[in-house]
Amino acid sequence: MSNPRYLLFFLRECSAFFLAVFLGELLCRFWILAFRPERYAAWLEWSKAPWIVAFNVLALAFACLHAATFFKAAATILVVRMGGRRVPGALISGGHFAGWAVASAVLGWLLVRA
Amino acid sequence: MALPEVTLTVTRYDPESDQDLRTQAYTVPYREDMVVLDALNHIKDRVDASLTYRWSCRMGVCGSCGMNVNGTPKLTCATFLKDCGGEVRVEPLANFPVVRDLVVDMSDFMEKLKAVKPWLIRMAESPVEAGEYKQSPEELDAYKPYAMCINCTLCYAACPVYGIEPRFVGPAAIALAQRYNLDSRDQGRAERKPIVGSEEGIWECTFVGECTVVCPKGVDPAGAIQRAKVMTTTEWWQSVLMPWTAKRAAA
Amino acid sequence: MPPHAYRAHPTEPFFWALFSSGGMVAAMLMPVVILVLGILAPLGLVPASVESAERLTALGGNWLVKLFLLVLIVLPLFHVMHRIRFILIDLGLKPLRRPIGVLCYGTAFLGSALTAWVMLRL
Repeated sequence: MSNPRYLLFFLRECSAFFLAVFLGELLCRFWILAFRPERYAAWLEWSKAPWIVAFNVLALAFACLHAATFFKAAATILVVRMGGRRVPGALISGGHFAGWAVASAVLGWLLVRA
Repeated sequence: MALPEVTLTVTRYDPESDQDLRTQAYTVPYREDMVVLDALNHIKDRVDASLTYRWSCRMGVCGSCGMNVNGTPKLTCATFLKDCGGEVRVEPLANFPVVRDLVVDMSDFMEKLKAVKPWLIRMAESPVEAGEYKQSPEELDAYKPYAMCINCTLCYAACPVYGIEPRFVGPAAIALAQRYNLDSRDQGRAERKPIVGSEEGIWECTFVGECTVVCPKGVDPAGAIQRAKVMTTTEWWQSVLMPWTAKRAAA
Repeated sequence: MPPHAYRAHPTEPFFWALFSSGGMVAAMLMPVVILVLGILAPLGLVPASVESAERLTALGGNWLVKLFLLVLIVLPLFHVMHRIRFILIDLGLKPLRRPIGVLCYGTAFLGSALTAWVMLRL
């Protein structure tokens, strides 16, 4: 594992576990809301535990790593030709990052305000 | 004044007398413009004639001199000693069986290369009177990077998946298959599919990306493989969701 | 090495489509969801009403929201399980290729079914 790129690859793959657990958290929340609404308040209290929030912070870090590596990968995979020349990879991944900013802003606003 | 020198630690292996790989250190006079291959040639010419290794063009187009230098697969004719950071460790190309010293057995790659049929396949050849198969510059651009492959197999040495699964068809073979699949003159995609689209083909790849990093000719085999995944997946879904659009010709 | 038979795997394109689209959904949308619901809300850095039962149930009654939540959970779930499948295989569990595939995608299908059921009920 002396190669720093292998480390990045390893971390990228590890992100899967953290995302999986968070998806479990999400599903759990909505399952309780749908089937056991009387336990929702208790679940909310449980979700405030420091170790859970700490895990979510890690999950956020891994989710961002996933996003960054995914958008960079998109540049290799998406071959877009405009005017007979290939659009440079930096533009493709840049476009994805811009989309990410917009999507996050919109969804964030909806989550908090709608 | 003492002339500058550099020490190379080189893997040795004589199948007739050695049980395992061993290393030998050689000190060679150092000039700033020397590449690793120059040092190896100096050793063979002046120090130890028994050292065995492959090389040919010494200018990065034949693909013969691939070896692991300080743990990274490189063409030794294109690797400057001054970029090696003082210590120079030369080992046979990783992930291949060692025949002798720095020479590896590439027959696995050769078989896979043959299996992907790296030549133009036509349903029926047009008669000569019909003229040439014409191709525009844009059509050439579609596959040109993949045509730059010199079969040096540095990508196989760098690929961790090939390291654990020797049946993986591998970066170069798939990139070369794509070179033909994307060639407007070719009609052989379906014929290559059983190999390229097999479990040991594109689906074995987990997009580590090391192959593209080490490629000395900018082929981007990782990109070729992922694009093949996209093409195969799109085709599959199209055939499932819109079976009436299935192409009549085998390609 | 002697030539061997190449194995066809007709279902790979199916799962790869889910993997790649799930990866895009996860990349674009999950970070902000984790931030708001997993960090800001429990820490009280957004109003408590954001994750209150009343608000979420009201929002969850909307079919568009149900569909959105379904996509948000199901596609990344397939992405994640596909990755985990290959991690397990690369860790040396090669002979268990088939059972690992069944386990990983089975989990994804199960999670998807549960999510669909929840969304219907919400």
